[in-house]
Amino acid sequence: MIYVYAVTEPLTRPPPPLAGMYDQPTELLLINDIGIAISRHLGCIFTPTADHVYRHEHVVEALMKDRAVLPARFGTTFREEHDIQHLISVKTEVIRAALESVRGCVELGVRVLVSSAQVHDPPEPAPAMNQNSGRAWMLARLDRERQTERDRLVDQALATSLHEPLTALARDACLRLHPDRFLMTAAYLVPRDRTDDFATEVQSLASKHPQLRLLCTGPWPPYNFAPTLCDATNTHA
Amino acid sequence: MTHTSLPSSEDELHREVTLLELLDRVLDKGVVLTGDITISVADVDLVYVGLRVLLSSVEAAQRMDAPRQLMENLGCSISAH
Amino acid sequence: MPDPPRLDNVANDLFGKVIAAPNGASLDDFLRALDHLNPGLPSRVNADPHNVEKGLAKLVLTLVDLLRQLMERQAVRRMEAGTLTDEEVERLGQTFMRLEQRMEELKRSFGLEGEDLNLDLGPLGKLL
Repeated sequence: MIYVYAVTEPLTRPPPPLAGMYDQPTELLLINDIGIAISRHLGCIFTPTADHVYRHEHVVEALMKDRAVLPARFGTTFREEHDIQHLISVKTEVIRAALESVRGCVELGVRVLVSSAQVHDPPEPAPAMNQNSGRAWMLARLDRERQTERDRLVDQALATSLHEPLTALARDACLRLHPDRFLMTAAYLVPRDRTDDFATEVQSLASKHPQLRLLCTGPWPPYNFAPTLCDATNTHA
Repeated sequence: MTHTSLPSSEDELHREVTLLELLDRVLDKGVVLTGDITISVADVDLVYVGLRVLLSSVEAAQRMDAPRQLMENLGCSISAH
Repeated sequence: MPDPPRLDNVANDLFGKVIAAPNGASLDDFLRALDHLNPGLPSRVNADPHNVEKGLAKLVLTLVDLLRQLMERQAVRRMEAGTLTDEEVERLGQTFMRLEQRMEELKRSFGLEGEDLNLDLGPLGKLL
């Protein structure tokens, strides 16, 4: 069994020796000038414990020190080299383009740790309703739907006021809004030499909107900017 | 940088936050190379991984206005009673 | 020949990546919201067959509830658009009221009363 850490580039110098999962040595498979960082195992189980996850991340971050890296999802395994070789050779152009797009950048994550409900005034209590009237129920439901829509627009405006200035400092960005949980989760692909500016902007936004409780973490490998190279509907556990 | 004193609780908190952010990335993001994700998890979590497909189906259904068709069927069955 | 990097060489990078953070209380909420991701915590390990059954019931009811809410939304939008007759509005309202009650009864019979059936898919956000 082959465990995959990342898709990267071989360069002229090999990566430093690294201890991977279960202390197995890591190696770089070379396919079409693309390097796949792997380790070999016999029938291991890869539970996402803290130790295993740190070990996976350690390999990815070590590679990132001197080359462009597309980190693999935890637990990515192949039975044989041939299986990876085929996939990589078919997706070579996509991979090369993706490596270029993340070169010299790190990922920084931003979350707003309040929910939409916490941002908005609580809904007015519904007036006592005629229990026998379907129409009354529908009208009350319509009211609720309209309020939800209004709240959603406010949420979007808030998220945009944070997302825009941060996107301006990044090469790429992705934003997710969760009406029910944390208002916003975003990831930014930031060139290494702009990470300080980015951190400064986050601090500035955090002090401008203390009620939004911004959480910023990083630098991460570009997990949110890595392509899907296989048909996701094949996923099974 | 080494700590000779016990880590403050804020350090511990930040460390936990880091781990969770890492888990979020490493379990759900990154290059998807294969349909075979070899993760050993408990029962409910297996369902969680499989629901990813359901979620995209639901979103696709909403875009296709499938609920309206469902509702029309509901309307039909109401009139039958 | 460079020294092989030891884990503690990158320890600070791996363990401490917080650049900006709110105070402790909000972080606690965050930790709790994502704690199903952490395999170390007891809430994640659930081998008790009774709980597995309850988990399945919760899943099924959540899917039923999802459909119910999708249908409600569509119906309400059609009413707003004026494409329903008064009779249809009344009938749909009655039906949805009954469905709402039925849902609560089902939840009660599975010991899930008062629970938020919104399935938390972790990083994917909630289903509803």
